[in-house]
Amino acid sequence: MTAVRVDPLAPPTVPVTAESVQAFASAWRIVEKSMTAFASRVSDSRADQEDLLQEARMGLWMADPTRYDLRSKEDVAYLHRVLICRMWDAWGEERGRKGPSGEDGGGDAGR
Amino acid sequence: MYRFSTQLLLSTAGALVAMGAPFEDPRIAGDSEGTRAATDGAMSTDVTFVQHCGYWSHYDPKARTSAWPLPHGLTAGEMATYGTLYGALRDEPRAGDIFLQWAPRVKSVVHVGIVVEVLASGRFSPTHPYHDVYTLEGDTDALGRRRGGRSMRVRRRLSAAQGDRYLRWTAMEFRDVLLPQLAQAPLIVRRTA
Repeated sequence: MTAVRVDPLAPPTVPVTAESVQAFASAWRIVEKSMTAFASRVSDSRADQEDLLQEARMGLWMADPTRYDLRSKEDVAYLHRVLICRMWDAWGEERGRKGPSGEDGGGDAGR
Repeated sequence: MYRFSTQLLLSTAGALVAMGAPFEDPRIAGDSEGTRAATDGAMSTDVTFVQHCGYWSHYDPKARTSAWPLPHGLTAGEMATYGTLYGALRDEPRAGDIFLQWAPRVKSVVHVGIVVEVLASGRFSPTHPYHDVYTLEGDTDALGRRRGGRSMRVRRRLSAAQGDRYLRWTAMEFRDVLLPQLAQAPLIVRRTA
C-alpha cells in the first residue's frame, strides 16, 4: 500500500458522506430518452405517457442504480429491459382497468 | 489473539476513509471498458478495503497473525459463499456487518462494504423491505456507484428482496469449535507486516 501523508489540521479531502440516492438522477438521464420514446409509442395521450414515465422512474428508484455499472452496455441494456417491462405491465393493468374502449369514466385532460 | 470486535473494524475503516486512503487498483486504473471487463471476478478494491481493515484491525503483533476470519483473496461473490458455509449471512443489517450488494444482471454479489449504522427500515411493498444504512466502503464515488476508485462513507439503501445480504463475520468466532469439520480449512492467512 502506498504511504499517505496526513495533516490532521487540514480539512478532509473527501466529501463527508456520499448519497447513493443521487445516483438516480444520473441514471435517469441515461435511460430517459428511450423511456420517453417507448411511452410515446404506447400511447398518444400525454397523461398516459406521463403515467408510464412515472412508473419507469419508480422502477428505477426501486431497482437502485448503484447496483448497476452504467458504463457497461450490458447493464444499461438490462436496466432498459427492466424498466420497459415495468411500463408495459403498468400499461396492461391500466388498459384492463379502463376496459377495451380505453375509457374509465374519469377526466383525461392530456388528450 | 484479539477477540472479534466490530468497534475495531469500524474505527480502522473510519480512519482510512477520513484519510482518503488510496485503494486504487492498478488493474483498472486505465478505466477502459475492456480493462474493467477483464477484471470482473477478480478481487476488487472494495473487497480489498474490507479485507485490509479487517485484517489489520484484528492483527496481534505478539502472535504475528490476525484473528480476522475471512481468508485473503476472496472475491465479493466468494464472500457470500463463505458466509453461507458458516451460516453467517443475514437479511437484516447490524453495525459492523459486511454488506453484500447483489447485481441482478450478473446474478452475483458485485460490491461490498462495512455497515456503520442502520438509519431506517421501510418497505417498498409488503414483500419488498429495505434498510437505509451508513456504510464505509472502497471503490465508490460521491454518488455511491461502483468502481469509483475512492474510499468513502456512503448512505445507501439495501434490500434483501433485491438479493442484498449481510455477512455477520462476528458469528464466525469459535467456528472451529462449532464446526469441527471445517477446522482444517486455512482460514487465517499470515502476512508480513
